[in-house]
Amino acid sequence: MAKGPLIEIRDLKKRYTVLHNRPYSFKDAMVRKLTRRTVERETFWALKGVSLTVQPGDTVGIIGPNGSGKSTMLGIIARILRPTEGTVEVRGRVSVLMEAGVGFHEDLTGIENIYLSGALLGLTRRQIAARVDSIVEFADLHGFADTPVRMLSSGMYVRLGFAVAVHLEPNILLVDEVLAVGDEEFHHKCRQRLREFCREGGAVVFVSHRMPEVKWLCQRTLWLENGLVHREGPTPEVVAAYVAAHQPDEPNWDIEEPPG
Amino acid sequence: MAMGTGFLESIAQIWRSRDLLRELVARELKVRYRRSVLGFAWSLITPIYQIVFYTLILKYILHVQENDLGIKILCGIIPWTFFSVGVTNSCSAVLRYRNVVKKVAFPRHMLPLATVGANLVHLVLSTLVLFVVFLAIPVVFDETFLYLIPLTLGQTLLVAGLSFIVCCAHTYYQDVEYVLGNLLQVGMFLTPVLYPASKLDLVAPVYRTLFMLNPMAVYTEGWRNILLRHAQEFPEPVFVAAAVAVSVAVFIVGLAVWRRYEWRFPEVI
Repeated sequence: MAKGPLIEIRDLKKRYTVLHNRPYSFKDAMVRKLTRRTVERETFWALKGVSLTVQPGDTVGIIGPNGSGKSTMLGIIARILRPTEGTVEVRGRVSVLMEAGVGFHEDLTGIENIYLSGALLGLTRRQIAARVDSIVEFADLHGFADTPVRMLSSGMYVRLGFAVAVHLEPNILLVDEVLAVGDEEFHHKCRQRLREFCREGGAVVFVSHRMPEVKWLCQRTLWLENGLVHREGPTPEVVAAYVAAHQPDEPNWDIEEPPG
Repeated sequence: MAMGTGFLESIAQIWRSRDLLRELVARELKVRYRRSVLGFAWSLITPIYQIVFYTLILKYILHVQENDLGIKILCGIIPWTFFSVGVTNSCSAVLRYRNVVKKVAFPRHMLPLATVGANLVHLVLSTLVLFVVFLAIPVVFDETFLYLIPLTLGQTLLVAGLSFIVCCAHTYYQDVEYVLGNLLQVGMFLTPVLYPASKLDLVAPVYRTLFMLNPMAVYTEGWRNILLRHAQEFPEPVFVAAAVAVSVAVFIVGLAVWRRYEWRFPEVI
């Protein structure tokens, strides 16, 4: 097992440049150049100095209102987005589980996507072949393994995504609002698997609006507000404070439309 | 895949990610050929009808006196198709994998390279079909045919370099593919695909020199000469050297452009 923290982030800042009415076509871009109309450029800081250390076996929740920088944070840990300032060190293989799927190619079948995901994470064909059966088994695909994934039901899609993410032996698992779909039985299986994963020294970073899920899974929680850490600490305290601040008299605060 | 890796590191990554590359190439071929019943055979239709129509027009309408016109055109169309389809398909290489690019970190330059790889496979298959036609003519096979291999490697660098550039451009401006389609039409006539470069000498020798500075002219002429004339009247060494130098330069510039812009793809698509 790796020594030292799996994730070490110091004073992370991320700036996005938003181009209002940016030209989406080459033709537009040329016309603009000729007519000397400029694109309005606006920059905003999604993260304004966030630090986080995650040790093997840790489960960390990230909560905060929309636009507070949660997803950006996850994108940076996943090495998908580039930090603007600050240092980010991530050790080991990272699996990302966002809304629907781990990044499937819609035209490919379940099996093909398993191979593709494995190859994207840097596994060899043989390593993936050894895991295919357990993935299909875990996702409960029942003869749909050779169907293009765009034809799968949303439940199957998410199950397959979860199965792929946890079976490709990542060191870090990033989860963004996914456990919302699927039935109770599958949720149970996921929880079991996540616990096992942490016991074996993996780390989970979990982004959610659903406080019960955060409370159930995460030891520690980071509350982001406007790109800054508003509060960090043991989950029950942080969640209680968050609920008091954001949803004081909202009894159904954890019910929302599933994404998609 | 650490951030801020060097240029040579990007090249080393291609070798280290060969499993991923193979996987992406296999997927690309599968997706392209599966949608149609005839699969690979379907993709041979375009060159076949091109040859049929060019032969009909040139031979029976314009009365061009030339033996084996169809086969001569075919030998030019095969390398040209690798170039034009390879570059065109690469435009959307990132957008086709939008879902994956937004959610997984991986060496993204494998995406246009996989498109080029799939077209390279297609080139090999088309050449094998051509060889079957050769058996029927018949054409004598000899060791000069092996020159096709280094020629194709040079061409692959050229196609890959351009693919990096057009893929970057298309990911930002999604009509680049159409603009490119027009440029390639012009390019086809500026390249000796439907005519041999020697005909340019009849216009004025300077035209031949100018045309041969285009690396695709060298590759196309080279293919036709190797296949039909056993590499006699092969393009002069100076033109071959220029074509290879340009191809290497285009690859280096293409990868540099890619490295400059690719980090923002997950934010803009």
